[in-house]
Amino acid sequence: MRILMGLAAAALVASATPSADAHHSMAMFDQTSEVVVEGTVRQFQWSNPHAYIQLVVEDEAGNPVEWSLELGSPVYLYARGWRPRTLRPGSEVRVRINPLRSGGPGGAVLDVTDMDGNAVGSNRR
Amino acid sequence: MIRKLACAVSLAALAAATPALADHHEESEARAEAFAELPYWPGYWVSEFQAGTAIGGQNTQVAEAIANGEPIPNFMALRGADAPWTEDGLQRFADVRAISRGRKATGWGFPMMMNAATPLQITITPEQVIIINAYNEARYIYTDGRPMPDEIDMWPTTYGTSVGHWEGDTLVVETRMVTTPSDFFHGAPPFSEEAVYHERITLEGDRLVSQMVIEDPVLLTEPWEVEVAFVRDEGFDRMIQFDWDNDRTGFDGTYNTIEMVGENGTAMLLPAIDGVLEAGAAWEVAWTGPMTADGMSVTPEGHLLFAQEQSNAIWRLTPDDEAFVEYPYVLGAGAVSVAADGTVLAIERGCTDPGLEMLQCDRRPALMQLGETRSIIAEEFGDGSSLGRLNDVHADGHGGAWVTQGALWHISHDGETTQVYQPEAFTNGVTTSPDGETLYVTDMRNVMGITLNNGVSGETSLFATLDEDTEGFGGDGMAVDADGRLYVTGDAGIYVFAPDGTKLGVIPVPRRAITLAFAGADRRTLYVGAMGAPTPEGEDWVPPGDERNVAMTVYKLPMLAAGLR
Repeated sequence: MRILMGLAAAALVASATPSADAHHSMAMFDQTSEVVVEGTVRQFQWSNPHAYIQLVVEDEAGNPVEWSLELGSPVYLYARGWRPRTLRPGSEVRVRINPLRSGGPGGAVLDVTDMDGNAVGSNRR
Repeated sequence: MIRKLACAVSLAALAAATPALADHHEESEARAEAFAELPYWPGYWVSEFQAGTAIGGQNTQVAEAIANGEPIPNFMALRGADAPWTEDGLQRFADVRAISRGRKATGWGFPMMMNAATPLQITITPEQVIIINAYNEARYIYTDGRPMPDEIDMWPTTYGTSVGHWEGDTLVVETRMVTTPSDFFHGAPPFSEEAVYHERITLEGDRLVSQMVIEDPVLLTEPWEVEVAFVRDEGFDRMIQFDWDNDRTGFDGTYNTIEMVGENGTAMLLPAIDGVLEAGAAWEVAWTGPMTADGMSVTPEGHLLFAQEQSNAIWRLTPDDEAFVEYPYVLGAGAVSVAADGTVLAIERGCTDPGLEMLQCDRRPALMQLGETRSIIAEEFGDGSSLGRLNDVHADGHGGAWVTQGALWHISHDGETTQVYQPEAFTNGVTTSPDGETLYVTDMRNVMGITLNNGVSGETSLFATLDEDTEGFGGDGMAVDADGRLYVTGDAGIYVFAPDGTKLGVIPVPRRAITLAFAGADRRTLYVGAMGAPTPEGEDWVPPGDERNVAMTVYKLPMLAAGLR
């Protein structure tokens, strides 16, 4: 079963008003909940103003669902040790995210590990 | 002799240049001295409260402050929430926020680039200071003593016009004629174009501090004083210029969201096929509707054409997914084929659609030439019988075409019909190799290859088999790419065969595809027409009565392989 593994505890306070730095507000993500999605990378979009991991994940019924997992800008990803080929199509990864409030299959990435739990790229900070 | 002369000329030139060289030397020394007196602010400067940004773009300082119950740092002070706005200013601030949801941007602009999570590099010379960020947003601040240009020589721009001077180690800058910042970036303050921006920038230890005073006679009650500071964050080793090319910010009616891909069943991992399909490529929906999109071809400029039997029309689909009727009144339009010379042929199925309520009409099925003038190429076999329910068409480049209807037929430009292949099961798709030497036709799960010699068909042999299809009607639409690979729609997806018949792979499709064509200006987009379509609610469309479900979806896929041009 490679779908989400449930909601983790509220790590942050909900009313974290203007809680982001990026080019849009982080209010679109529910920063009080954490979800872990496991799947296969279809595409790693090394793009601006955000990079994205396009992850194909099986839902509970076994149907493939494509998640759009948002990272910051490659400007900062580079500084954190990430590169355009850090993730490749076919890589199997486990991604911890703050999910979209809209309920769509997406979220803001907190960290990425391979299926053995090793950090992918660099998850510093 | 010539060489000697050249030598003499160059010596003379050197002698003449000597006084100028001396001047230049003095100038260089003076400039070097001026340089030596200037501050040096190397490194990549990040807005102070943005330092430490995490991989997901989260502000770690805000998170830590919240976790520790400390005050949240005002990390984007320049947004202007605390500025002394007039009533008009407050209204404009609110108006900008109200329309900012889901808005896209292409950069920060001034003044927000001075407060962004995008590092700045500051190059100081005696004549000017250049502040540039990783999105190629640049400020040129002239420090050569010139005054602010005359108003008649300026007009509002995103980064304004800046003139500066040094007071000791402090850079003093005045900037005017900045386009209302929120016009460029939705998160910026809505200052008027009459605003004047003053900055005093000094290095204080490891912090670069800018004391800003912004005057706006239109929207501020008094000058607004605001401090922004910068620190060197780790991990930056050069200024990489990034295009701002993938803003996927959307809005769902309540919250911003991410514009999704992988909807309508397109969430699937497609196999990489060498020279054909890149790993990570994905289908996208280009068109859906309750009526057919069959018998595809491509216009000379690379737009897709498809036939729609029920609306009696040939449709055009642009690369931007705009669809419109290109050729109306094509009775029971079944398929279209554009020849290399641009001639457009189509088959009219007349009133033979079994899915509709037993249509009655006098027009017989026909092979038509479309365009400014239309003509019937053929509407009967040699014995005078009807062509019947024609299936597919492929123009032969000489005004005629191959058509399938039970058997495979050739119809010459003057309407003469010749049977080319009698199938074991039934024919469906038909196409030719790029060199025109092989004719391909489907015979259920077999693909037959027929040699062509100057358009005259010769030997027939089994070219390939759709070996992953175990039931169903087998092969349908066919297309070739410029390298001669053959693409055949089947139950398993799009079969890709090398010119020698070797199967290179199968590209799964979200729905059962029945027709396909390469289109796009460079012919590197593969379009397929597939059976079924979703309603706006996302459910599969089901016709209300007993009629045949003819809803279709057109998907497109970026390819490495290119179609014929």
